[in-house]
Amino acid sequence: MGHAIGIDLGTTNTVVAAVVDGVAITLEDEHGRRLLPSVVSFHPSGTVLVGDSARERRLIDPESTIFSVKPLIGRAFDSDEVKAARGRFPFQFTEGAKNSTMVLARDVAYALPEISAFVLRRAKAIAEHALGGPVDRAVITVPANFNDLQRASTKIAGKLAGLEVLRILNEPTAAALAYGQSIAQAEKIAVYDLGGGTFDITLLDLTGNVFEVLATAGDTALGGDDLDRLLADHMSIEVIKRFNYDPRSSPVAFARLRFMAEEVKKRLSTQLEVEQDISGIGYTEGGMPITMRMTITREELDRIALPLIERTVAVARQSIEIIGMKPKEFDRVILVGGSTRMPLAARLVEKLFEQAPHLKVNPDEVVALGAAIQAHALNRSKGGAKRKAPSAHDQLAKTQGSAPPGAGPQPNPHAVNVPPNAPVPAGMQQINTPQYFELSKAAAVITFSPPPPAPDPWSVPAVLPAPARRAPPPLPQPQSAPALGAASRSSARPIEGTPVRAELGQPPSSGPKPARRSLNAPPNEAPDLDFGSAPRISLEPPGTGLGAIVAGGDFFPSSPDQPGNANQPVAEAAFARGSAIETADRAPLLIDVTPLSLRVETVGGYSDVLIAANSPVPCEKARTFLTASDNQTVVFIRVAQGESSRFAENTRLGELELSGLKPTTRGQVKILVTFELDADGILSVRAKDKDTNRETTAAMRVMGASTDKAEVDAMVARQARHEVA
Amino acid sequence: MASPITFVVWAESLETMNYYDILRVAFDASPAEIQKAFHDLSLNTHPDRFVEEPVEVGEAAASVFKRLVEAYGVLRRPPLRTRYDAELRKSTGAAEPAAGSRFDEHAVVAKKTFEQRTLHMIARNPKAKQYAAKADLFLSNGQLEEARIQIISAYQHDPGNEELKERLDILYEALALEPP
Repeated sequence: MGHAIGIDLGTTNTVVAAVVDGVAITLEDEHGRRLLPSVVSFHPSGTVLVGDSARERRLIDPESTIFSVKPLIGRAFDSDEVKAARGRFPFQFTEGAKNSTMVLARDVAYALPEISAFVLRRAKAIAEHALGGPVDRAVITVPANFNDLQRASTKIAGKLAGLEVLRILNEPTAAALAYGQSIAQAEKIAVYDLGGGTFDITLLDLTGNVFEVLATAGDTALGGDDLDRLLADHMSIEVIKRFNYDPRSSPVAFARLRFMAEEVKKRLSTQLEVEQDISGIGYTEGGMPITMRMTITREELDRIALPLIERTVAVARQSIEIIGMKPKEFDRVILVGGSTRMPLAARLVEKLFEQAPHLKVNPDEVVALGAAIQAHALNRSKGGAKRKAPSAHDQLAKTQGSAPPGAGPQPNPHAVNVPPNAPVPAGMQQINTPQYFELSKAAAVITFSPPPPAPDPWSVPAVLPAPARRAPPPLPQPQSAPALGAASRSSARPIEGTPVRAELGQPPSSGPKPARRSLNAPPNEAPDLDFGSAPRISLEPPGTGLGAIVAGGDFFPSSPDQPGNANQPVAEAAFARGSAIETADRAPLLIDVTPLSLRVETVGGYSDVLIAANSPVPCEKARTFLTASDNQTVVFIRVAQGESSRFAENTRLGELELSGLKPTTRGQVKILVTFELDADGILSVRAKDKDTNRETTAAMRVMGASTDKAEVDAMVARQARHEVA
Repeated sequence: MASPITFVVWAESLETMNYYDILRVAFDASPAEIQKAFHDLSLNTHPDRFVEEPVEVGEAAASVFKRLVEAYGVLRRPPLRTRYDAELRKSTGAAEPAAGSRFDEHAVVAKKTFEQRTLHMIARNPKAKQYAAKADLFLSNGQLEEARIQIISAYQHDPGNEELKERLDILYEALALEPP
């Protein structure tokens, strides 16, 4: 059995962590980077670039570079969220089967779980490199406010990437789990999570051995990306004023401006004003390239950001009221997500809770660390002789016919040639589950560097012979100078009393950092053939001085030069910046909740709540349905998730069909339908005919997500065509 | 190693218990006591506590945990707890609730059909149909109060139409009004 890792699959950045020797630690790539930008670029060579190299291609190849689509996963093509997004990105969206959303890159359509799968494959490769062994299981985090379809789609992404998904975990809950490793007494905490694309507020009661989520709420369409866009709008207006040219008229130019806006925004977290050189966005009326220098102040940014942040505060206030508490009753407020680095966000949160937020967690990495802790706790399984009961989506997959509506494998000009009998990498075996996947042998193109050794006799191949394939074309190496960062210059007006936050966890640097010696092999090292050896990370618990502080309930050493073990400089630095956490002996029990009410349609377009929002999971609710007309053999039940009593105002999950009923007078047939939310917050349905006590078929026709076998097979095939770098 | 049978028997025993008995708390338990009881029982029944056991054990334990969640979901919220207590007293006639089973706070009406006929279809004469059609329109716009008035008018022109009456009752419950 391989390692189990925690993955924070973020809108902007993805972070990987694992528990090694009782310490949860963020894993670094070959260049020592801990944040993997969640950007996927389809290189003309057929290779899929993920991370910083892909992020740079947002500027030169914007139409084939997909970013920030995570909040749209599991959303229907005709949903408001996708409609609004369609015009905002330089790449194209297209409609897939069953109203699902796909993106176009180099004339091939990819479902959104596939895009996430590319990121996850890279994350998995990073972890395998850092841990020196195969990784086949993961806890993947999602925004707390994700609905059933978004969770199910994320799970599919994990499977496509060759990972067994141990749990879909809510991001704020993961953060709380990581934070709670070091607390001594019971605390009520609030986690305010403002990420690149989504916002969540989660309220928890942490007792010694049970971490109970009291309530959660949020907005999956509100985050730092929106601010980047608004700031780019603001910058566009300056350009119009000076050159009478609107960069928004060209998606490519606007994409560049958005990229610059993001850099400006980040720098305004620590500076009061930033000067930005702007170029490459178009031409003047005279045909000269536009170049200009613009000064943007924090005050301007705050003015733009204020309505967004106020919305988050309103959501937070409301969720606190729902559980009958007052904001100041919380013992701690934890800030999570890169966007909380904005001083405005911290200030408004402080005002709401009447206390300064807890700054001793690394807002970028704490979620991945919590996911790693949960992965470690759930990975003690003996391998699970039997699979879980099939979810609604699985049931659908089974009941669907095999005819794919145009979902068959499409010819791909970028396909890499693979011998038909090439072996399958160990990790990829996991996706070969009976419900969905019949893994194409072509998946062998997915190799990792170095190839994961398989010390466990249960894993499949011990050594992966390199499949014969076309030599990959040269890839752009990460540039030492960031493409745009070099052009920008700051007028550093120093701020007094720079917040601690600015030091904890540096912002992602575009250039590589020197490789760390003890955590990672040098980038060019030959594949490690030392099978069965201990993980390459060797992390001892911190020295006594530091250990004492941790045990004393102080999460971070107040000063980085604590007396520690001199042989562990990297480990100590990792603790100091919040990239490592000592874990408790026994993980506490996490009782999480479902963020949204589960509803069925009733009379006149209304809906009834079956499972209320903030109900702990797993949970279930049974309800009896009757036939409405004589000799009726089929009953349809429409299911949605959301908080509106009007059925149509909620997110439609699908339609449940109860068939094979006994034809008789109306009202005579009683069907007991049980709706179950599992620990991932994913719905499954079963039905029983109450008279005959026999199970009735209950197939859920899922809307807006590609979950049946033929579609998933096509996704697997498309994954296999691309190497990830 | 725990046996799945233990949990199957436990889950079955919960079928006839009221929510207080399920959580093993007194009728006058404080919110803190209820939470403590839920936590203690969760540690023994949450499926995540059985990752080292065969899958069947975790599933059997989960069937108990889900009933705990159901009980906790009602007892931890004071307004629901009050309603539940009232229902328990009604069903037993005692001062303290005794046996009682499931409580579906969201089920407006137990009897509900899911292939809806419009009110226009339900009304049996032209005059009633005229009001019923208006009510359908109001309902589709979410104007419950306006719809209620129209259904009452329809019912006055079509007395004894049980299905129409039933729809009116559903609407009253949606509006949280007591029918006259």
